[in-house]
Order: sequence, then C-alpha cells, then structure tokens
Amino acid sequence: MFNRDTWIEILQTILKNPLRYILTGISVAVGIFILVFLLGISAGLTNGAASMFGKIAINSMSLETGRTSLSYQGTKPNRRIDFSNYDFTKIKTDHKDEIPFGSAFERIWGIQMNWENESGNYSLAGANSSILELLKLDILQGRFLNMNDENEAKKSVVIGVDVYKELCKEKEVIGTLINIGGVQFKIVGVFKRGENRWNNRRCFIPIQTFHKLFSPTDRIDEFYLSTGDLAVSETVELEEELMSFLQTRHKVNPEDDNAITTNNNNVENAKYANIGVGIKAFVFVIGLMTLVSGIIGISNIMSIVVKERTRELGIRKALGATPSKIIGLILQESLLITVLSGFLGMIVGILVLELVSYFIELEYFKNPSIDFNSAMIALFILTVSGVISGLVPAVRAARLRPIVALRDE
Amino acid sequence: MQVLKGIDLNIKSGELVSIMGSSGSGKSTLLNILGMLDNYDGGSYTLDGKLIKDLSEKKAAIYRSQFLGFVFQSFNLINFKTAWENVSLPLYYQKVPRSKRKELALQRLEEVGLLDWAEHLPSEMSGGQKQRVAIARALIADPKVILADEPTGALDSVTSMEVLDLLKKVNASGKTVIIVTHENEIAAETERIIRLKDGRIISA
Repeated sequence: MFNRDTWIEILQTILKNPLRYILTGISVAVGIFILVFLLGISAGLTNGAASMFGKIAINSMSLETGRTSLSYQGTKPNRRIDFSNYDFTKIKTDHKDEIPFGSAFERIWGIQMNWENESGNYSLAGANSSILELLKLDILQGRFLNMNDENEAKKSVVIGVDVYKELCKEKEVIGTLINIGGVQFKIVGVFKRGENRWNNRRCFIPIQTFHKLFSPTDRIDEFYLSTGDLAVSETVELEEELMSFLQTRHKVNPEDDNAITTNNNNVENAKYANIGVGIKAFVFVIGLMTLVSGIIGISNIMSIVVKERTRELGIRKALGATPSKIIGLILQESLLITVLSGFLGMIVGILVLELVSYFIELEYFKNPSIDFNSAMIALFILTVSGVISGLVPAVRAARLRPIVALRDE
Repeated sequence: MQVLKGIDLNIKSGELVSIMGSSGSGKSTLLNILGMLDNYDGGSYTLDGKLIKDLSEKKAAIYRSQFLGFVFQSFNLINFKTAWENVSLPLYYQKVPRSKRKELALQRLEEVGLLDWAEHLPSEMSGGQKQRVAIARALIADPKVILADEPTGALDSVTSMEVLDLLKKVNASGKTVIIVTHENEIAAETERIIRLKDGRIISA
C-alpha cells in the first residue's frame, strides 16, 4: 500500500486538483490550530497560577498587622497593631501539633547599605531561618540563615540577587562584610525569589539580630506559618482560632478587617486548582467538538470528492483497479491531506502561541506553549481522524459498480 | 427486469464482430456482461475457457485487466492525466514500474500515431485523437479482447472511419474486437454482425 508509485499517483491527483484539497485542508488546519491554541492558552493559565504560588509554600498561611479601623473596648480607631515575640512563641506552643514551623517577619523598607565603595538603599528584613521554606527562596550562593545565627543573634546576612548585582557588581561576596545602617554584617549567602524586583532588593538577617540592632521593641510585622499536612478545612479552623486569639490579645474589634489580616494559601491554592480543572475540562470539550466537526467536515468533503470523481473511479475500476486499490487511494489521499494541513495548523498554532507569549506579560498567564506530548497526541488524533474521515467515502467508492460510474455524465 | 432473453452466442478468438440493435434491444447490457462490468442472473458466460460468473469485485478487476480492453463512446479518459499517463493506467494496476509504463505507453501512442501528443491533456485534443488515445490504452495490457461501446458515436464520419481502420488494424494483429454500434456503415466493415431486438438475437 505504501510504495513510491502509489504516492506519485496520489500526489498527482492532489496537485492536479488543488482547489478541493485546499478547502479540505483549510478545515483541518483551522481545527488543529484551534486545538493547539486552546491547549497553549490553558497551559498558560495553569502555568500562571502555578507561578503565582511558586513564590510561597502552598501549605502555609500568613498573618499581618495593620491599623484598626473600628474602636473597641475604649481604644480609638487608627491604632497601630504590633505582634510581639510573646504572640509568636504562644502561637507556636499552643498549636505545636498543627504548625510544624513558622517564621516571624519584620522589615525596614529602605536602609543604607555599603559594600566596598558602593552604596545604595535596600529593604532589610528580620526573619527566622524557616522563612527559606515558607517563601520558597532559591539560594544562589552560600547558605541561608541557620539556627546558630538565630540563637546567637549573629550579624549574618543573606542578600537578594538584585543587591548582589547592583551593589556588589556580582563580585565574590561570600564571607565579605557589608555595612547595613552603620553595622557591619557578614554575607553568608545570596538568594533569589521569583522575578519580582521588590523581593530581590532585600536582605535577610536573623529576627533576633534585627530586634537587637534596629528595633526599640520586639515588634513583629507578620507571621508566616506552615500548616504541615492539615486539610484545607482544618487550616480554615486554625486561621479562625489564631485570629480570635490575636484579636483578643490586641483588643481588636472582631468586626475589624484592617487591624489584622490573614492570608491562607491553602484556600487560595484550592481555588486556583479548581479553576485549573475547569479550564482543562473546558478546553477538552471545545477541542473535542472542534475535532468532531473537523472529522465530519473532511468526511463530507471527501464524500463530495468521491461523488465528483465517480466517473474517474469507474474508469479506474474498468481498467483493473481492485476495490482495495480504490479504498487505498481515497484513504491515503485523505490521510495525506489531514496530516499535511494538520501539521500546518499545528505549526501556525505554535507560532501564534510564541507571539502571544512574547507580547503578553500577565502575572496569571505564563509560558503558553504546548508540550511535546500534547503535540504528539494532536498528531495522533489527526492521523486517526484522517483515516476515519476517509473511510466512509472510500468504502462507498469501492462499492461503486463500474457500469454505474461510467454511466455518470 | 429481464433484459436479455436467451442469447446463444459464440465469438471465436481473433474475430471482428459488431453488435447492432436499437436502444432498448439489450446491446449495452450484453456488452457490460461481456466486459464484466455488470453481473448476470441466469445462464453462463465463458471467456477463454473460464466461467465468468458471480465474480468477486477483486477477481473481476483482475480478469478485466488480464483479458479485456475497453473503448467507450465518451472516451473516458482521466482529464487531469496526460495522454501517456492515461494510456499507462492499466499497467499501474498491474504493478508495472513507472518508467517501464511510460516506455510501453509511448510505444502504443506511436502505433496510433500520437507520439507527439504524449504530454498533452485530453482537453487539448480532438475527439478522434482522444479515441485513439483510448484505443492505445485498451491495448497496453495486451488483452485478448477489445470491447468498443459506440466507439464512433461522438465522432464525425471521416474521423469515425479513421478510428474504425485503427480497430481493424488491432484485429489484424490477432485480437478479438467486439464493437457495439447502431451505425450500419460501421457494422458493415466488420466480419460478422449480431443483431439484437428485445433481448434476443435476430441474426448472427
């Protein structure tokens, strides 16, 4: 069935009658284009959701201080809330089964830093060593803060990659000294967190050191808490318990949404996971419908082609073509057309996705490409649909009695 | 509906016969049965000692390409193929390689005087030329029998005679030629005239 002569015969038939095959090809190409495009877009949205969570541990929550907006128990609104070491220790001991680890977080938005002859203004954060895991920091050089740094309140610092680039000019930094707000710190590592420049223009020191050197009190801005392997519903309960504990302790009206805010990443992630499933189901249904309509389309056009060629096929039969030869001719023609035009649609789809990803930059939409497997699946579906769509008209053509075909004027 | 009602006919190898009859006489049906293009319900048909009855499509196709060459009134050339490609088509179904097919097709075209037209499409040729291409095609697989259904029906009288001369030449080379026609002057040129009326032979 697959010899050179057969293909010459088929190619000739196709090249000498381009119009009908172009029409068939367009319908297939458009179908596959839509499929590839949809797959790419869905991948883009899924990747976008993943990258939004790539910068924070999914099984974690954070609690953040703000200013009160309601008066409560004799206090006035617009009062600043500060967490303290006591709060942090109390939460960790009271919930030690639910919270495997956590980190306090306190920051100065801008502080003067000097390294060798360079100087600049960067953000400084005090935190516990477990912040590494909670904020999913990537360590590019050296190490992160450790328990030793914490316990001895060492003057160790891990600098952000943008600080490393701008201030240190990417020179050898590990073990060197950096002056932060007038105090000499030893650089122990370089970190990176996503692509966000605010995250990377920051330096981390132990929270203990931070309190000692830069804060008159032991105030804490935020708690980052791991929720271990708690179920989403359990984390919601935990969130409510912690909230009510902190509200009571800091005399915050339970109705006040501004004084203390929480961010439960378990819940957020579950939402995005649902959206992801929804998008996939949507793409699957649309893609399937596109394919089915494509198959029906090709089948229809091939039927018309067979009808149009009744006489030619009759001549072929009169000259000695067996039914299987006729089936082979029609099948291979439709196969060739679907695969070629499908390939075209696929390539155009991939190019368009490339353009889209080049020109569109959105936080929730990233890297809208289709992977090798999806491409192979699309190709397989193409081939199968080519065969299926050619089958019915091919069998009909083979059944054609030559005498009927030749009478066809 | 019964079209043929008792045809007792024996055509010898190498004969040049014509089948005549008005429309509805059953002559086309007879030709179609002879050409294995149509099946029949009763009686028997033997070709070169083989019983041709209830053949599978595949078998019929193989026999057709072995034994028979067709010439039709409306030429039945494939319009997107050149003269030589049309001529060589029967060989394609006998799995002859393309270069060999071309060589043989050009030989046949030379025999019918159309070598210069080998690369032309049917639409560029006159009716007489198209019929000569069709005859070359009928001959290419070296069949035993040439079946010609109204071969001159679409041609003027001068061209008709040219085509008929060609068929006679083919017959002289040893092939059995059966011509279905309603034109007396064509039939008169053949060795034997079989006249059909209402599905019966009235003279043979």
